[in-house]
Amino acid sequence: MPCALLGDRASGKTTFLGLLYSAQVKYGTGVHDDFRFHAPMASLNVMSAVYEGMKDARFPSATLKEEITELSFIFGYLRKVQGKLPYYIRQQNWAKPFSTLRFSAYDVSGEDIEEFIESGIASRPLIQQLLKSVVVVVLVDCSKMTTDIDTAPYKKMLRYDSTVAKLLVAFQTYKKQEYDRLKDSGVNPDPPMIYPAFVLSKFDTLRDDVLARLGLHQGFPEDKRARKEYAEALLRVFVPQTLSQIRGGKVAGVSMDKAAYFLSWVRTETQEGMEPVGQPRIVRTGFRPEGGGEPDFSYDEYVNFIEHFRHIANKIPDEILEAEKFQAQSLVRPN
Amino acid sequence: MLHVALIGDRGSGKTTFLGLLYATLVRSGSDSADDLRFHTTFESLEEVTTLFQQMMSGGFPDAAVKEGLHELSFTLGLRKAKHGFLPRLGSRKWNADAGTSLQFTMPGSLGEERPGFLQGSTIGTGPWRDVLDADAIILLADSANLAPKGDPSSPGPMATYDGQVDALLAAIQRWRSRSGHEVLHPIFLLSKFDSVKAEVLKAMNLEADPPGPAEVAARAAYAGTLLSPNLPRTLATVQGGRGGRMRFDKPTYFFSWVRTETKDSSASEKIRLRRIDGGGWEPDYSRDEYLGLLECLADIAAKTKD
Repeated sequence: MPCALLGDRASGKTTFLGLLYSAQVKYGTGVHDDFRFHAPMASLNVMSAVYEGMKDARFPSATLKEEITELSFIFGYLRKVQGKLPYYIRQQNWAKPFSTLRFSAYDVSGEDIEEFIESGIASRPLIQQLLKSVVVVVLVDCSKMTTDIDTAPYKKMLRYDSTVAKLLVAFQTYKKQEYDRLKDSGVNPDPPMIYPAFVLSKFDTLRDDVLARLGLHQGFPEDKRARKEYAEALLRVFVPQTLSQIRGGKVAGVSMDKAAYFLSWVRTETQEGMEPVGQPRIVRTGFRPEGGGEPDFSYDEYVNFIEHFRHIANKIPDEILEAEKFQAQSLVRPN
Repeated sequence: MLHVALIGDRGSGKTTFLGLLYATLVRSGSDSADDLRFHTTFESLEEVTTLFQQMMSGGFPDAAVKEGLHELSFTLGLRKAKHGFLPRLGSRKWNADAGTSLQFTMPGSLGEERPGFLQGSTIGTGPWRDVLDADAIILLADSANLAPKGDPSSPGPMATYDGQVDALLAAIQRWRSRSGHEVLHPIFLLSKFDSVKAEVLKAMNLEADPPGPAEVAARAAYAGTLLSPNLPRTLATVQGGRGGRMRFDKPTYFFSWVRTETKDSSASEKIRLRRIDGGGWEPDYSRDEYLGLLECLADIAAKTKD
């Protein structure tokens, strides 16, 4: 299942992927054991380098960021029924104990996107892959949220909102055209659906005066409905075009209503009363029986994010799953 | 699809109108509880999002946007409040059938471009061709140019524009004398209504604020009083009803304004932004008028479908 990850420059895309990988490592090795993941070699090389750096208190370097164009993981979720079977049966391949999902994130350069937006033609294979995405993860950088409308961050956010809105409409248009094409050729496809997920990145940098102006309290609520309302209150102000295009998908025949909201933060070292000099350093957790020496980040949110895909996995249209199966087979048997 | 032609003189606020219309859509369709949904076509987005950015930063449309923006297309879904037993039952869901496709065409300024069919040509080409086939026509009247009833022998400031619009309407009637839509829905939009001169209102014995959207007759009378000395030929044609095969529907009237501010005397005028519920901003403009216009267009679309 292709998944598009959209984020402005320096919005924390690589850090997000690094933290997602950290969360996968931790969650996949927990006692509960109902989640597994696998990463292809190319993705593993990059992600393990990011992971190592983070365990060494460093944020991803610019060189590493440049190496990323596509990252994929295969998520495996233990099926509910199989989970109740004895261990030795669960381990058998024929039992198919895990439902799997391929999570691919593409990092597309701003120029590629701009070229596509201006021309409307997806000439590059990466953009073509991107348009096939069923899940669109939009990173919204909280450090750029300001209520001062004459500042550069405000204008940057306005521009980012326009870019994301345009991309979402491109996704919707592509899905609708594909749907109509399949329908015309006699196939009876499921109505097109895109699952947007918003990640409020650098949430710890969200300024108190912004929250106060918007009438929001500090801290992200835990209740699902309250989370949605809280996140949407922020997004309605800072990315209104994106939000309204998501809502409007249904009248254009592509549902995008089921948006999910997550937040991401990673604690950085600060010295009392002093501004940090140079690159900030990541705070790491102490060693405990369940692990340690890892970045101190919003782990629960990342677990929620991983679990979110469990629900989506059950709703992916058959034609997409078939296409993936076909793609996987052609990779195994190149001739 | 409902084709709407946007006609106005140079500097009458055509691009600003489209920007405010888009701002209305964005603001009114971003909450799950909102009764409006819209989806802009990919082709329209590039220009209109740039326009939105400019206006949300307090700027009026620049020359590049004015040059590039000739069309705005979107699908609109509106949910009207129902009365009686079980209001809204079954009406909460949105789907593609609930949407109306609208296409706004803005071919240029009448004062600057003389479409071929106004110069005697029988062939319509380019964006002006779309005007000939439009379902509805929005005629902008720059309120800053409105004059009180004066000497009938001397032409008023809008006389040339009046003549051009009248000629355009006559050309549309000719074009549809044998085929095409039989009805054209005229909509008058009094733009820059905050710039209407106080003496004009006083001379015509009118209040500063027009009657609300619900007071249809009073509103029509108010707008008619202002427009009759300024666009007499256009009004006569439109109110004349039928001209050959094609007929004009009853005209509707809307008022557009956006508040401005200047930070110092040397700087150019900027759009004043106002805070909205929930903490965001929007241009300080006549939002209710734009919502009324969208409803009016949705009604026309429904009639056209029938």
